[in-house]
Amino acid sequence: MARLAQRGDRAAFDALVQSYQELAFRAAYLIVRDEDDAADVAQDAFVRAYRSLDAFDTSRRFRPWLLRIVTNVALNSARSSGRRNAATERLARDAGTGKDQRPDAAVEAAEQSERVWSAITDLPDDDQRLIYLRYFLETSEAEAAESIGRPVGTVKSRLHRALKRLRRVIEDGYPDLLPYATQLLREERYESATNT
Amino acid sequence: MSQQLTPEYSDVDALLRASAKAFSYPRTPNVIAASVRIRLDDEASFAERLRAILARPTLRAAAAVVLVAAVIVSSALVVPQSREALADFFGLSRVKIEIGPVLGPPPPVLSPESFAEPATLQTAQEAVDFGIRLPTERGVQMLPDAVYVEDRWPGAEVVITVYEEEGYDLYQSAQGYFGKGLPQADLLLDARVHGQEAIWIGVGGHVASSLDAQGRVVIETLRSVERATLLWEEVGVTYRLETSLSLDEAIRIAESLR
Repeated sequence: MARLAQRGDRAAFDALVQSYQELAFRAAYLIVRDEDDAADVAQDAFVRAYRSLDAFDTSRRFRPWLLRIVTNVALNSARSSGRRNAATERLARDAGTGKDQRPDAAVEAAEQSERVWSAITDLPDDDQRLIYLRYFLETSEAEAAESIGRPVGTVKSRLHRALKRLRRVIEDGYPDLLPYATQLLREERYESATNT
Repeated sequence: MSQQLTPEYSDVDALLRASAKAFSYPRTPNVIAASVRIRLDDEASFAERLRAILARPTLRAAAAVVLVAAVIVSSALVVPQSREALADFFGLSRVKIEIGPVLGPPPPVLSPESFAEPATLQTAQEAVDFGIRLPTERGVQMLPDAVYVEDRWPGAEVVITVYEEEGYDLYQSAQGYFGKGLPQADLLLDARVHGQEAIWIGVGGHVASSLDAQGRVVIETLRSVERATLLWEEVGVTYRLETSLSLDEAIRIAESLR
């Protein structure tokens, strides 16, 4: 499909946009933290991707190439707008409203997820991007490597450093997340042991 | 991720995996694909109109007027072909200028620290393939108050040296720049740096973009209405001096680079 689009087939590019718009929106949302802005970033990224198609190596995968563009556009947007604070505000606003009808465990998981998201904000851009790619967007190491334009080995070492820094951020600003993390790990290990 | 990547931080790893699983994304708006289609259609349509205008000999003779008018009339984004035509008019191969309204919401105002990474002259030099040049006073290089490098776009790296007290920022890139949204044509002046053509954009605000090797925009920022911009090219590098100084002073700084 990307090859067809590269040859000027607009319908093929439209199909690519349809296929990847959710991925692009989600990747953008993780970084800019605002629905409208994420939609704008996704649009911009697709337009840039279209303009850059002649530079796309069709022997490679489209998804990591697109993710590279989306995350670059999103980081530029987030850097300049200061909208990251909106996430914290939203978190404070939503806390305790009692509107969430999900089971307690799911509500707790969602709340902790939001807090981890806030903690990630305190990391350098490259760390954030890598964590979103590997954990939230579930790219493989090879895809993440293509997305950041670095070898797989670099992805591993950078991710290691990113986790180290995230732990420090959590220890300093979100210390109650650590017992929760330990509990998660214990549960995982218990499940793993009982399954074997 | 289904496996623990880093045993040393396995609790943080577990926390991230659980967080990713529980994360609640908003629904993806269904307008993205349609909006992209409209924008690309607009670009193609504008390119066609511009090509048609430029193909007419009588109008080509008055290319400046026509191009400016075309940009003002158009409500579409501009594609590389039209930028090239405008760049030819102003005589700089890697600098493109448009006059006319900016479509849609203007880009954000970006200061160097908001889009580029702090660097030293040494680390900035390691990030780019060209030699970073600095202004001189009586033959002595002036060290900047701050250095930034934007190197996330391979081939389109930008080095910014900030001279706070002197009142200017110097951008250097092996690629080019693109200015648009100039409120009026008379803000543009032909200038000369070492006898070569240069462009001076007077105070009044405009959108400045950094371009990659294919002329595509990689960084876009609204520039201050209080600062003017001098653009010129030397030995394969494009320079942009943003300053509150006068044109003469800007040229003196430009010609002092070593």
